[in-house]
Amino acid sequence: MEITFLDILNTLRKGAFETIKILPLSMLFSLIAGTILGAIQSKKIPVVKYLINAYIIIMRGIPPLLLMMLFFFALNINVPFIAAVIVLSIYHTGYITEIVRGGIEAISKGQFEAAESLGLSNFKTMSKVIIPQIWYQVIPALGGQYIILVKDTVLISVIGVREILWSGRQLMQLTYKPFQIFFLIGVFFYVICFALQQITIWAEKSLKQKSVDSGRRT
Amino acid sequence: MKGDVLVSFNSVTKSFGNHIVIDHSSIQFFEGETHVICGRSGAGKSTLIRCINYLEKIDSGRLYFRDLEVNKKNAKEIRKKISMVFQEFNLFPHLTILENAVLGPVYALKEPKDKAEKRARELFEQVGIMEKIHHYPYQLSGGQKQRAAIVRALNMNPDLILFDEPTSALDPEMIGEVTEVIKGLVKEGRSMIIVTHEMNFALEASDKISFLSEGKILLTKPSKEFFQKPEYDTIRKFLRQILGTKKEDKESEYE
Repeated sequence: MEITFLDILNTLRKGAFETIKILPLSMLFSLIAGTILGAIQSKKIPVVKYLINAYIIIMRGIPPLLLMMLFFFALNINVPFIAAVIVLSIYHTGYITEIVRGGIEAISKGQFEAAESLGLSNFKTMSKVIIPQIWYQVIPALGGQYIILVKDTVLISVIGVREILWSGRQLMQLTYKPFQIFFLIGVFFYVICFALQQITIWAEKSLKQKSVDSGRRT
Repeated sequence: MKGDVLVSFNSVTKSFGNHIVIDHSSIQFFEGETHVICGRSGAGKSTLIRCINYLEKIDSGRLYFRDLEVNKKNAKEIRKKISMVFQEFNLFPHLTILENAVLGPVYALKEPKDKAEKRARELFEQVGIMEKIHHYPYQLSGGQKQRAAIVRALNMNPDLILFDEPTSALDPEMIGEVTEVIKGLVKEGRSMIIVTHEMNFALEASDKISFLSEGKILLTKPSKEFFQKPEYDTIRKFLRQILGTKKEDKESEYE
């Protein structure tokens, strides 16, 4: 049976759908966890700060592929989709924590003092005053991290997620047309990464004015 | 003396590293009083008032707000009763000025939002920037920002307002609009401690003036007396320098 171009597109579409399902979940979980850990880390709480530091160093020090295999085979999380979301979230949380901490530390001391002098709790100071202000600072780094996350999704095929690269490899064995197939996969990733870049630029521009510290002379 | 003791420093010391900023200082601030703190740059004026709401922790001595000792444990409670206006405004840039004014009452005082908003609108009307309430800080002039910061402080319904050089970051033409607002608060009989170099304003609006030099409170006098009989050379020199540039004819009084 001959495999037509339409069949190739259809198979890749199914793989792309798997990739797209995993992306927003991993992005969301790593952002939430990274923001919480980054906020805690900025408080420099003894012991806790060393624990978070250790986590960051471990995530930075091991390849995501190894982490993927560790979770899937050693920890026996044998639902590939769940294992993929967990691993990508945990891995990128390590980086996003540092991005968020840097963003918090870039906020002027006066903003913390103004919030404290209003009697706001630590939690409200962070959630209502500081965190909403960091996005302008961290968006370029966060956008870059998300682009890496998108590219890391190709690794999840090793634990059996039938994402786009996995689909491409299956097709290649049937059609012997690697160039066309991998070109299409490349276009898919390029479009997602380009869209992310554009969103990053748009978000940065739209947050720019509101993020000007009121103390600075305009 | 207008009322009860509101803030009491008893031999308070505060250092940054080896540098002593407040040196065994004792002073009392009273309810309903406008008390100006003046002195040269680095004399410890800002640090003194920042200790009152625990933005700075004292090293030794005793500091009380009413009957509450100012310490970590009581800081949150004290901050609900003392508002602060900063030199650099420190408005929250991601919020409109109305949202800035409502944040404290809603999240610290647990007031209903509509009640806090209603009071904020009245205060914005009072300081003359009602038409700007939905603007963000970056859309305002320096004077408008500082008036918005004053509204944020007032909307906490505080027992005491601390002003840390409220006009120092302003262009000269905007100083007047802020000092007029503060003079209005003086007429309302609010308790205020103001760190300022605006000595003409201090003379017109304050009940008392204290002079700080090298972390010590050199002199505290009712404002008119302070200007009439400056007892120390260092104060006479300070007044000559501050007023000399603004009011040449006053200079002779301090020779």
